Amino acid sequence: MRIIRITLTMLCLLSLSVAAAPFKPASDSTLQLQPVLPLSARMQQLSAQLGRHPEDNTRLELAGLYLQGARQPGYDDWFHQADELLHAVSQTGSVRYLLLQADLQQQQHQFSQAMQSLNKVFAATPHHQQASLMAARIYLAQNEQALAQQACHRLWQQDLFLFSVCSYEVAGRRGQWTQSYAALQELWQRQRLTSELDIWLRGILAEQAEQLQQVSDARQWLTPILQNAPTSLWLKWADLSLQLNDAKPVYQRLSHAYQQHGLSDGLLLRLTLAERQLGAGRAYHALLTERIELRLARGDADHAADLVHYFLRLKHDAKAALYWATVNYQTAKEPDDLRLLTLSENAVKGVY
Amino acid sequence: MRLTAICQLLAALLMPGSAIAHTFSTAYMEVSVFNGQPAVLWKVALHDLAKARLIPGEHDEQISWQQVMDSELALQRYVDQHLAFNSAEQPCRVTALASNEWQLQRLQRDLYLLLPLKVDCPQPDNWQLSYLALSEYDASHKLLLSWQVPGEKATAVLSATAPYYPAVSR
Repeated sequence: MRIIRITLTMLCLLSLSVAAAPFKPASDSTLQLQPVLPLSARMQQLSAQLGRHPEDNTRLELAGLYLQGARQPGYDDWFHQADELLHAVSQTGSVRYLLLQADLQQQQHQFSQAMQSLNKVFAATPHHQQASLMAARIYLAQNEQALAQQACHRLWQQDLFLFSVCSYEVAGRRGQWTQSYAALQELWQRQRLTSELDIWLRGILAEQAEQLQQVSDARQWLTPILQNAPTSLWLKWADLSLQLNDAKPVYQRLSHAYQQHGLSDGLLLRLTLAERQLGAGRAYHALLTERIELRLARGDADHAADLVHYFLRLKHDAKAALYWATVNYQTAKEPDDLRLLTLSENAVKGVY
Repeated sequence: MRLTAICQLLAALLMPGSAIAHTFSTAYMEVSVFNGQPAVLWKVALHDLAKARLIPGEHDEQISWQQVMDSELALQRYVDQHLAFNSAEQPCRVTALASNEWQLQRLQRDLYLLLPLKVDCPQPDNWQLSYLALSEYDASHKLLLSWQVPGEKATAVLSATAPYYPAVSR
């Protein structure tokens, strides 16, 4: 721990000292700010409406759209907008508010607060579908399979399809990967799915295929839907591609996405790994290093998985990787988090 | 299937463990000593000042340096309300220097305004900084502080939940 503290102090000093020289522009100079992410027509309409009549319903609808949009690669800044809008809501007891609040909280890994929000929903509507699905997901993130299954069970008699997918995901996490994968594939083939459901189901199928060591199949579940997939699936797709030593599509798609709207640290890290695998220079590596140093200097411990990947796969600092893997596992206990912890422990022992 | 509402949620149900880290708002401050008083340089991102509507005019991705300089009065008011120094628990006077003293610097690929602050304290020591800027616009906002006072050299991270340096009131 002491080593980490010293490192943080040094990095803090470093980030304060490494900079371009100060300058004074001419008064008519144009200065470029961070690019503004384009709003959909509905979001523009709601923003304008909010300016004229600040009402909770408008705030909630707009917050929902920001939250939905924030999961696209490069749009993570919208989580702040959603957060700000929810802070401004005056009636905080509605189901709609509580669901959005829970979603934001679970995204921030504030799982117990998210469950508190969802429990208020259950108090009013015990079998609420969205709340049940989100509760199952939160329990899975905490490796609480029995509670996750109970949450899935709330969907029984509400919606058999959702109940089945939810339950098979939990069964997979309980180690029944083969049976669950087969059952989910059958479900996927049998149903005519909306685009959103297709993406959701393919995400679970990809995880299960990966757990069964079918890495190529796992990636194949994701490739066709990548364009509309949330960032979490882009991360998985990139990891699977890199595992298959196929860095080229990762580099092409992520560098294109970076040019458009920038990338969150997790995706920038995968782009950097692709850059290294292809021997394509160190431009993204330099950018990522700046970002990681800033995160360390700020003392941000959220989403520590990015830091584990960085120290394990790029910086090759096994002790730092283990430190952050331990921090990460205190809040997030998905199979990927456990894998990071195991890899870091092995790296410290010198076992690769 | 009654899935319209569910569909909006499905992206949230995919592996939150590997969910994305947000971009963060960060400012820097260097505190040293000049003529027995704190000499302060606040480095704040133009993006954050624009977001806080402290720079006049309509601006999305571009602003002019003149617009930045025109924010002098607004910035002074903002500094008065959100940034304070005390010495031995007595308030110091904090004044933002005129805009002809301002500069820009590129830090972490963003443009930062270098805003010098003149601080007049009744005592030559036992200074304490209170920083409550910008967190109302971005809860992730943090200040990376370099405290270069003889005998008390340190670095610290201040935020809405830890706004004081030194942390304990003296």
